Amino acid sequence: MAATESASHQDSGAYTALDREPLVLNNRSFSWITNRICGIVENKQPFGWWVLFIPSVILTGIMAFCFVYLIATGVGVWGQKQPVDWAWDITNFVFWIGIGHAGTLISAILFLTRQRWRTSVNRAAEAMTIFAVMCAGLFPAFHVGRVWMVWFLAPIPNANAIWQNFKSPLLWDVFAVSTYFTVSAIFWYLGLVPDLATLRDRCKPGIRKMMYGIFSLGWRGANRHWSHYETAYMLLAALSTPLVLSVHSVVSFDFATSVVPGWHATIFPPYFVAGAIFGGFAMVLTLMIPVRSIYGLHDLITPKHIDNMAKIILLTGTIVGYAYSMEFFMAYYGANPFELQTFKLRGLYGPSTWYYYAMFGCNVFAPQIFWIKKMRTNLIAVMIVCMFVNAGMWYERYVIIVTTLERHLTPGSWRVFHATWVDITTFIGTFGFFMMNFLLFLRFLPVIAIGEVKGVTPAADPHAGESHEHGVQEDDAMGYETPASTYPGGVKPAATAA
Amino acid sequence: MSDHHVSFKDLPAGGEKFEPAKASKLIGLFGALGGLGILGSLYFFLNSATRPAFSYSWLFAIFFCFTFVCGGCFWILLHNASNSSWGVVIRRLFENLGVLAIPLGLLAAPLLFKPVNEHLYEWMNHHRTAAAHAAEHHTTVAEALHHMSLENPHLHPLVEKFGYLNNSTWFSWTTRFVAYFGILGFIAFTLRNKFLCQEKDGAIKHTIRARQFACITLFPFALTVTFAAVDWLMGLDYLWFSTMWGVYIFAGCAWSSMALMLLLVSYLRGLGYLQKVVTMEHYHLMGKLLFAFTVFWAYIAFSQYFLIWYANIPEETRFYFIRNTEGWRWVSIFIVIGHFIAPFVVLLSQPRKKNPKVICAIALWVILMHLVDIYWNVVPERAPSLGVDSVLVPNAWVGDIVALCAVAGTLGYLYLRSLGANSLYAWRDPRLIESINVKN
Repeated sequence: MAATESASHQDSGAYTALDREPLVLNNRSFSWITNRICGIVENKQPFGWWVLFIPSVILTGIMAFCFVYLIATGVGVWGQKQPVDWAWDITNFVFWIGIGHAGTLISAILFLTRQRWRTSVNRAAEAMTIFAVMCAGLFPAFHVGRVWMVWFLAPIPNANAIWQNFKSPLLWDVFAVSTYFTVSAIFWYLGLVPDLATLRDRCKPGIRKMMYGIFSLGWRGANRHWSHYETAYMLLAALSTPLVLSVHSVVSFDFATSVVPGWHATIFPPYFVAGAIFGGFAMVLTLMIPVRSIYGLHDLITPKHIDNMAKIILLTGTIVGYAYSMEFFMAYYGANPFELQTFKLRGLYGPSTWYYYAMFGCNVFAPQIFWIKKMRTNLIAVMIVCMFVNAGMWYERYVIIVTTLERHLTPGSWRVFHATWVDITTFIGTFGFFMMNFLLFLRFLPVIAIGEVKGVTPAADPHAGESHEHGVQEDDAMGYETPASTYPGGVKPAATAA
Repeated sequence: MSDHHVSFKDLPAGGEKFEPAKASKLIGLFGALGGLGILGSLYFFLNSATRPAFSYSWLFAIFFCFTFVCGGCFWILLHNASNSSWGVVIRRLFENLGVLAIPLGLLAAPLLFKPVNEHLYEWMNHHRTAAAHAAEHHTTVAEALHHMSLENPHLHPLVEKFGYLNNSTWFSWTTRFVAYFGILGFIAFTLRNKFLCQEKDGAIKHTIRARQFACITLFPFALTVTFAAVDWLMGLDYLWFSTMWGVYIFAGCAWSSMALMLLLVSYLRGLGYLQKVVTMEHYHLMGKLLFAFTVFWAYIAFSQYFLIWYANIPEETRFYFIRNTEGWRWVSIFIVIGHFIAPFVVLLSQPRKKNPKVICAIALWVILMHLVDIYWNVVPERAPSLGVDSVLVPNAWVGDIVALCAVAGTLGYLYLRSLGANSLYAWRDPRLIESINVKN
């Protein structure tokens, strides 16, 4: 019906505007938004939370046991031996750091580019950053062997006048990651301040109220507060963006500055950054789709949000595919026999080729399903693709690091890497650690930025309704039907201008 | 430029049509530059003494203009694919820029011919020798090249990369040369036609279809820029390679074309056009994108340089080695300062981005630096390749200016003439009002 109306309107020579999809469904009020998000923190946690939390704590315990075992026994409990001196540890480090970079990148870059849809996912993405960087930091810290000596990485004068090798990208990593973690934590915390004040004001007197009171820094929501807050937030977003780019670029330098065939590629910095955004969005969806379902946040995390993120996964997956192809092409075009041989061993006839196919399949081919609109709004399909991407990004790091070292320049010492039980359980344990932290975040802090999400509702727009143009929704104009199952209760809400 | 909400009824019916007569001076200037440049270029091409050096001049001028055409295509693709609204008011100007791919392809045609490309691409000469041997001995070019490499090991890489770098198979350098212009022209024509159709029937489906088309063609576009950069510039030294090369060239395309758009919009506004549709918010947005690509280019350029410098592998370092020798070294330093530091510092300020005069001065500087960058990428290969015992070929700069006048002048003339054919903006685009009233 709407399509017919708009068609006749268009033919008449008049102007028809294309309305933006609403970012909060069902015309939800400010109080509904506050109650729904604060309710997650204030009410008892649902059964689903416990189902995830208890195994996460157990896995964290297993991870802790593995590290204690490693300290007690030595780094040899991990499977790396000459020539594969970097294996699961650095693979896991880069995997987690990639996810860690994406959160702040998503939040900061979407903020700077004025993408209003970010408001529903930025808080969780930032939290994901903090926890993922914590997971990442564990691996190099324990890889040094004597973890209690890890402070040697910091440029602090010590008794033996030993200084770090400032020419090494590994040391730049220490600076880059620690700076990034600090700024990300501040960025996340700054965004939380107004919402912590909201929680403080709703709490009954007690320890909770006191804690929220301390951390909300006396926030009263005054104009001056908001003005300072917004300036600081923008400055931090602007500071975070180059930091994000620099950190994953520095991680890529760990490999690309070397003369190891398969590692030395000039495209590595942007390729790693694109991969981080790709993997990060997949992880955000992996976390937020269940959160949306468990806590009934369908009106705040809408099909539009999921559709947008799926499109970004498709784009960045294709960029990553471009980088894979460009590496292969230049290995051929460069006519360096060692470089070419490395890629042939990776992808054609080496002992670990299936990792390469898994990487390519998960990261490049799986997201291509998102060309179909129905797949971008089908939550099961989205979750499956995200799982592929999560796995694929780990495979990517494994391919770069391990399969290269397995077949390095001296064929006499070629060796295929085999992970030990400690490798495997430690890595699985970090998922528990990550999830445990994320679930505690859900338990104690607002998962969606309350103040920001209110700002994208029609009620917050002083110019709402000023437009004189007849407007239609895209789906109505094109006759598309979004699956009703995507909406709460299976009912599509009435469209409202965002 | 007022703050009140602009609605459709505030706009002239049928959009704004550019009258070339109003810009007759500039059109005349471009026409004269183009005409004289082409005459001068004919002289340089036909004179066997000047042709070798002028071949580089022509490649430089063509590639410089090619980056603007690629930039035009990129911005319309990005704009449509990302479903953004702010740029609707300037998108038509980018579409017209992308459409120049076809005349640019015709101007680039001399590069296809042996008397020109034999001075540019050493690998082609080896292939020609191999082709002659192949004809003589009734064998294939690849086999003949392999045979030649047994006597001259320096040719071995050419044997390895024969599948890509050749002029004797269906997937040859020449085929790709034609395909690059064809792909860019196809993208720009298709997208422009969709919005021209929309001006007739007002149907929203054209916007949706344009978005779908843009999403599908983004990847072929990326491949086009990448491999054009490989074929035309990287191929100047067939031993050199860098996986970052396509991204580096792309960064310059997006950067310079946005600067050109700032100048063009300001010029049109100065003639009385686009007054109601382009606001300071658009200047601010364009300025921010200019800033973003200033940083992006620097990030890419630094990463490429740094990784090659750190690894210090001879087949890679040659590229920077010849650009860090004698006078070219100062050009390299100038690029670091002029291409990154200066625009970075100046563009940090919001008021400067919203001041048309200041942002236009920056845009002009950006285009100048882009010119220097492309010159720095092409011309340092000239003297060593032509066997000149100096970093510069004497008096070759005259040819560089003549070639630039010929190509840029002709394209500028054609561009301004073509602006009058349709409205300056897509006046029935469903996002037009959103674009005019954009706030950021």
